[in-house]
Amino acid sequence: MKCKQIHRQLTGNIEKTLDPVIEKKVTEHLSTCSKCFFLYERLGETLSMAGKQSRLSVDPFFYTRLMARMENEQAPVARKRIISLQPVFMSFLILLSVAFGIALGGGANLLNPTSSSQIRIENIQSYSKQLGFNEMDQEYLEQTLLLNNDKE
Amino acid sequence: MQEKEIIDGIIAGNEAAFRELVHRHQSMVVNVCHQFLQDPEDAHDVAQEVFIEVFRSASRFRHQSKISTWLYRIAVNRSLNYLRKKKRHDWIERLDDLIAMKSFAPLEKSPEENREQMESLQVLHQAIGSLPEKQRAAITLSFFEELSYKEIADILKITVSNVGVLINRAKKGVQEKVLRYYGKHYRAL
Repeated sequence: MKCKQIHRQLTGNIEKTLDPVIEKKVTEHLSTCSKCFFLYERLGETLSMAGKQSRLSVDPFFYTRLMARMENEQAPVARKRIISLQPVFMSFLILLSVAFGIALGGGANLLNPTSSSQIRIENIQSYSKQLGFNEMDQEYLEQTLLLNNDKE
Repeated sequence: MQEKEIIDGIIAGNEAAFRELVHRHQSMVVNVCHQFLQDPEDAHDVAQEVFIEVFRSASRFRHQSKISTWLYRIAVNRSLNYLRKKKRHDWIERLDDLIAMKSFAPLEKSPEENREQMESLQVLHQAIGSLPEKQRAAITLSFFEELSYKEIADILKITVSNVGVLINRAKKGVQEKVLRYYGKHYRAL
């Protein structure tokens, strides 16, 4: 048997699954060919590693972290809803604050606009009389003074 | 707690049942993921995804197989998906990390022998990592998890004879790659 043919049988020889006739030929070849024997040994060593690898120890907080992740994966759904409702909520707040401002700044007058404006005019007139801000009164006083000056 | 009780408990939203399931199978799930991903952090991450999927799809479990078979199936699929998504062909770099993290328990041998064992393990993982997905899944479950062909057939939802075909092809692929690697090594000696 040639080296290439032997190579195809190496795993079978390691696992002892070859036909006895072929196994004998492989064994004979391995005893005479140093390269094939080297490869046979390396392959055997490599395949045996499968059973020698130690098990990975699990993180002691695995369950805690799992539960935290599950909660986090649920949270974004609620957060998304909040984010999508945010413009509506903000508009409502703006409208509410505008309405509150109107109510605070005499919004009550809106209920009876005529009477409130009349009251306001009367108030202004009485204040202006008291303070001498009435334009007509001032004009009268000025005219009187001017007339007095002319007489003198 | 019986398997059926656990699944029924999870469906009913019983956290104790879910905790029981996780504690029973977490080591197996993490290690299966680790065999595919070769990174402890990724393995834990994907293992969490496995349990989340179990939690969400418990009502679809028909009790036709063992819970462990179902978990193996999800773990294999999730691990392969993870590799596909991340397109991780940097296995060799990962194996360096693996060795650094002492995931491999060194035997009491000389440093030279240990180095050879590390190299062998690296070559084996590299060879398995380069196989087609189905072959990789079958040989990983056979080599590292030491499952029977019947169990692998149940997990991969294929026939036992197909498992045999996949594993034989995988072994040939591994043999070819290992011999190619050491063939170059021999010339260098």
